[in-house]
Amino acid sequence: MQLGRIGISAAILGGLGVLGTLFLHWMVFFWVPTEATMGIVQRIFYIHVPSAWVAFLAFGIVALAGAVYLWLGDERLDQTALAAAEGGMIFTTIVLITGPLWAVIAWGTYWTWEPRLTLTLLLWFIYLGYFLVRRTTENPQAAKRFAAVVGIVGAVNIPLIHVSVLWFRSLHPQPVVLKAEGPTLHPDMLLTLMVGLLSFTLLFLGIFLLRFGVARMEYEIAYREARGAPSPAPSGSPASPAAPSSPPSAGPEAAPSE
Amino acid sequence: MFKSLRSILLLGVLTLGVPASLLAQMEEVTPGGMEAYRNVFIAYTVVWLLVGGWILSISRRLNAVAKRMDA
Repeated sequence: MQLGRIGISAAILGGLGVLGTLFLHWMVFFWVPTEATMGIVQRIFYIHVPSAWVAFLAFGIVALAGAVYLWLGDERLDQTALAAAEGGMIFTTIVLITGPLWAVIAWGTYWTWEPRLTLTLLLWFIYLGYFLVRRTTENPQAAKRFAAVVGIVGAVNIPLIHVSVLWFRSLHPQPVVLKAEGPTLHPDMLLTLMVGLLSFTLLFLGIFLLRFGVARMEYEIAYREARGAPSPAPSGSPASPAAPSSPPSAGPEAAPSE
Repeated sequence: MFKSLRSILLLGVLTLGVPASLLAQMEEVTPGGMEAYRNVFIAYTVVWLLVGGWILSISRRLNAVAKRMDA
């Protein structure tokens, strides 16, 4: 069993992402001008914002795949959501670490309970709950459904995080790119940010595809083991009719997906 | 013996002394001083460590799947 086309796509996207990230490092440390008031610490912005964007993208995928999984019951959708949720957790963790590293210089404190920071931390905990639900629910099919619901609920938080700096009195800087009157960022800084956004997106998509491929393989192996036959598993049929003769505790429903 | 020790000491003083004077200048011109540089370094390192850790964990799972295939 091979990763096949998924592996090739993952390698291409991930490779482009790594190259883009290396180029981003060159831009950040050798090319882009230093911000006048914040100084060198402003360079954290070029990884903080792309990480936040990727985290939102990942959790958007989790919610979308989870919603369609609840509707169709296709195992591939659950595996998509799981792979995206892992990436979302990683990049939200990056956001939650890099933000305070900037804040301690800019604000004089690592953390303050202002709306955007609090909601981002809440998002991290919601997706921690996503993994806990998957691991602790005894019935694997129920675990996937509960996790899908958690993923959908968690994604509601994303637009709130975005508008929190506009709706509430917030210490967090206002948007400098997504503004009605257009970006107010220096053109070189804007270009560096765009390179960061593109690189991180490609990097995430590459690793996400790889994780999805591994989840597919794990499921197919569990399916084969449950059936006791070397025939390949169906590519993505709903779990319940896929192995009608398999016992509930050992069927493809029990396939370890984490 | 003493000559080589003196050379090592001299090298140490030069290595520690020259950057210290440069760092003192940086402190004057950069908001946050050396802490800002340190934080930028930590932030970029965190990205590589976490993303690298994720890739490593996926490759471990891929190896585990391959072993189960062989078994």
